[in-house]
Amino acid sequence: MTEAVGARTLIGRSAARRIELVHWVVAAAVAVALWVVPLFASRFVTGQVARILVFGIAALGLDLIWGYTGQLSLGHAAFFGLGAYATGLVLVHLGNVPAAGLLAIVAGVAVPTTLAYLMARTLIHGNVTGAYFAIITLLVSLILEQLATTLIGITGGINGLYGMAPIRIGPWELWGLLPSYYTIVVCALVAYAIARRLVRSPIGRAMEGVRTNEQRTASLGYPTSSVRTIAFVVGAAITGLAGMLYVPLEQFVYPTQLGVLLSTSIIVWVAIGGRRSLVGPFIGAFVVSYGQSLLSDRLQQYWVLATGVFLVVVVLTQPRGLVGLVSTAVRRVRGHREER
Amino acid sequence: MLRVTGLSGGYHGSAVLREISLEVEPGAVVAVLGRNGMGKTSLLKAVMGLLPWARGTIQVSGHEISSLPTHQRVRSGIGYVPQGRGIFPRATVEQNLRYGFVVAGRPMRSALPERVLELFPWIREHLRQPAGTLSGGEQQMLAIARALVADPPLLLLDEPTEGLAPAVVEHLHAAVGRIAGSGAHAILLVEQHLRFALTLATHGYVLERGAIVVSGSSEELQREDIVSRYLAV
Repeated sequence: MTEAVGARTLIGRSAARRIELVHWVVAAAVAVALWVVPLFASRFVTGQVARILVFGIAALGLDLIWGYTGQLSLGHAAFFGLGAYATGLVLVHLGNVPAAGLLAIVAGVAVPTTLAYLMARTLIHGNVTGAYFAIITLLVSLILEQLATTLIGITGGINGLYGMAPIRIGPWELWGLLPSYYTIVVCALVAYAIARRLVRSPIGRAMEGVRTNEQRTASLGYPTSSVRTIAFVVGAAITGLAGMLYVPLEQFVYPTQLGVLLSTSIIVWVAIGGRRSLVGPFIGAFVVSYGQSLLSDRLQQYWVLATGVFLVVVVLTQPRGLVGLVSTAVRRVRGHREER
Repeated sequence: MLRVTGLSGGYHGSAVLREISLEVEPGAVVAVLGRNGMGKTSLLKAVMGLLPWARGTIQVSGHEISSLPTHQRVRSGIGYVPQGRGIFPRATVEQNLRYGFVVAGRPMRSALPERVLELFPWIREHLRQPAGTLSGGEQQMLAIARALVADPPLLLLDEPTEGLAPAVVEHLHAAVGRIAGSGAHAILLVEQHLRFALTLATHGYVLERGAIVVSGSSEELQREDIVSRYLAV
């Protein structure tokens, strides 16, 4: 008995496999359900679903940074807006260049990712974390919004970017509702799979360690600054991807996509849906957007108030959001069943 | 094993360690004693690179580590068990132990080393339990076990008996004694509990206001005048 305790003693091997199988069956069912939405739903509803998925992807990026690693980013819309602007600027100014479509897509992810890497390099490796880091992300988002508003010649200023050439790669055109919709569904699944892979890897464990106690984690031999950097860059890349996807859907890019209001919304989606859950950000985006459209006819002016109250209640009573609420309930029901 | 020379350090704008020099031979147990607030914990933090500033030299197995970040210092062969144990309360006992593999650069799914489970046989029964539900003494032993997973030649223990009941302290004493007896790990033991420390260690240093005021064998340090002057509470 030299190798007494095997790797999979946390839960039985077969139970773990079964959970994994159920997870992917559910994921596939959700994917199929989303895929057929445009066949049954109106263009308006399809557009709403696409928007919610884009918001969910954006929130998923923040969840990796805030939920899993414990580092709040107050200006996360910076990466969303930068993704949208990078794509939009290529389409407006370089629309006739060969491979402009591909360039627009790549730039939409690469530009926000690069900014995130530079920020992480200078801030995290200079030991700027916690509240200071959060405030600097906010400043970056404000500066970018300011630039987008004032550099009218390039960005169109407050009116935003319009007159973009459609994204074309060969015969494929990514523009307008349906092509955007299907692309967004695929990207949501891919982003989810990447995030899941990350949080279940040793790096994901280190992210949890950094959140719980950074010194402790460093004392165990983890390069915590690098762990923070990886989480921040991957999170920003996923949010940048969401910004990029928003362009062919809305065919319009405007400064508030970089700003405080969207940053706050992303935080609210994650908090309500559930931190440290990869489904939570999508659920949060759905609940908030759906609630908004329910109330928007008559109670537009109360909506912000209602969201605020809802957020306070959820954060105070359910630190892990709606997903936490549901999983606690499921565990209770299961517990009862086992007792009998 | 460990050689510290002229180590000073502290927090922003203040020094809590002054020109400390000490040495731990391979396989030896060395105690650092002193009353509360004399810099014992800060000394270990300085060795680990966790103080805001520090200067002086720190050598582990002949390698200078004072300019390395914390995670690389660990990899030079130090197992650090911080004050307050530093386990992850929500993770299971097994997950806590697996964090220890990182230092060794081994995959986290490797089999838990038998030598660690033999040192703490009770752990086997509690692998799936959340570590936060263990008793204080068990948590302390888990933290030590986790540090031992990577088989470090040097173990730094920061007040392991803190807050433990006398019976539990006896248990811990036996466990640390077994680790020392294996001869595979040198131990630098920071303690306020004199008898605990001096029955395990062969040699000790006494800290007062961040400086070493006395050093000697365990017998010498138990002399009445030294105890009453520097150590009695």
